[in-house]
Amino acid sequence: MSDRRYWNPKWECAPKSDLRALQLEKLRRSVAWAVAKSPFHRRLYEEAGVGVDDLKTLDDIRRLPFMTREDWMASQAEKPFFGDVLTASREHAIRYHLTSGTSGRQPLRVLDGGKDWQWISECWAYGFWGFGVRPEDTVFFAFSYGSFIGFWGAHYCCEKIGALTIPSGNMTTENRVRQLVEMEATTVCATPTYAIRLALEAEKQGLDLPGSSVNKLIVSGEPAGSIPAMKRLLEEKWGAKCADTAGMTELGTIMMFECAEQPGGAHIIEDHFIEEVLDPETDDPVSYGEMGERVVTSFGRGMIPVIRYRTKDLVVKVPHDHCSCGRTFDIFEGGIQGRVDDMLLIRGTNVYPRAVEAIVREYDEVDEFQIVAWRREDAIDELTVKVEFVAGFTGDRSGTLSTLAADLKRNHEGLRINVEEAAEGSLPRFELKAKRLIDRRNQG
Amino acid sequence: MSDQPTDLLGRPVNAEEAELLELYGRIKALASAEGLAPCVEKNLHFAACALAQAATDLGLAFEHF
Repeated sequence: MSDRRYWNPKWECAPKSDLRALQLEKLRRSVAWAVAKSPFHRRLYEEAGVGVDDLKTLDDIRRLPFMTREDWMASQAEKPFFGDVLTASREHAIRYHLTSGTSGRQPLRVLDGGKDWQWISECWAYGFWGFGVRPEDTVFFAFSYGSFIGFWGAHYCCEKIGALTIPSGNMTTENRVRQLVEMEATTVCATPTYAIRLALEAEKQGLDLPGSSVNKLIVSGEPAGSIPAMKRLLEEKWGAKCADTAGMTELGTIMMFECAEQPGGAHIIEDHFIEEVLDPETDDPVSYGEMGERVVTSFGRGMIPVIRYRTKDLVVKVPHDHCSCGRTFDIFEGGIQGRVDDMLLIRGTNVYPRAVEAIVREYDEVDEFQIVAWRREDAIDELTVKVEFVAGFTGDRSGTLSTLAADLKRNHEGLRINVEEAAEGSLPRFELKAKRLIDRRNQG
Repeated sequence: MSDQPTDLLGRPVNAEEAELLELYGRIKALASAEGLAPCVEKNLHFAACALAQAATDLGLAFEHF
């Protein structure tokens, strides 16, 4: 079995026309399911005046309205905790997760049933098998196993494949490095920045990672995994091939993976997803090779239908033949290349400048501020909020800075955000659109 | 009318695929039978979920339950 190249050869290498026909059939059934079971979707489609019968070709997907995070969150706010997107009551769920998102200062909450979890792990299996993970492998998960969905599905995928799986939820970084070397792990899973931290810890302990059994490093959770310079650094420090994957809590799993051929991008799992790429301004489809916004339709999550969900991720889709692996799945070149909005991903936590501003603006003594994202020498991302006090403020400045830092941390799932005072008049002022975010992470 | 099972694209399935579809249908039906012991019902449900995934992956079936 281990010499089989594809997890699902029937569809990974299917003619494009067959793939498109399969997507249309699944789309029709997904819409029918959503309308029958989810009040959210029933309302959405009734208001738009569309239904299953309008889906005669795959292009007809454009007749369906978008599902947005804003609408989803509004539904949750109106009907806590899950809104009316669910297709079944919570008694049918076996797992609860939530996003690290801070937009509107409310996370997105999701539930999944047992069948959903079979599918979640299945999508990961396309990626892990595609990058070469086999039953003989020992896979170490440098992951906290908490409410963030992260690598949970990947863990179950490895059990499904039959690999020896090592969870390290409660271990310190020091222990993780020692354990993965001692247990002769062949595959390590982590976020890109944490993978760097692990490598630095290994160096500190005098452990020879490049000389260890690790030959595959699978990263997820941050776009950095597809940045060539970051990948080179990871591969050098680990002495292993590094593959990127990308998923989202809204889907519960990954929708793309980098195969062993590493074509400079990630294959879309096209028998389980439809990935449209649209001009974010006009909503028109863009051509292969042009950047646009990902709009995803998922076929696998029964409890929460996700149909034409606007991700705000910026991607460039290229044809499958940009890779020599034989798959007919198209590719997102360079992975996720950015965001339509300006969300920052700092050490795995989503930070929205607008949410930061909402907190900072609660402090009357603060006149102006600036958000600076930067990268330390050890490749860990940091965020600093510089604040200027109103002229003549005579109160407790250091007290305000500490309180603000604590406030920001509490509203960002414990993420430490630096807060420092800027000299009076030193921060720029704006007449039209303000630009208070400075992202220096990819400079120099 | 032929009773031969087809995949989601309406094409005839091969022998192994037909067997998988039949097994999936039988396990799913058995899992919903009345009066099963919890140990039987829950393990059958788990098996039905796994079989549903295999059938979905091959494009033989696609449904939520």
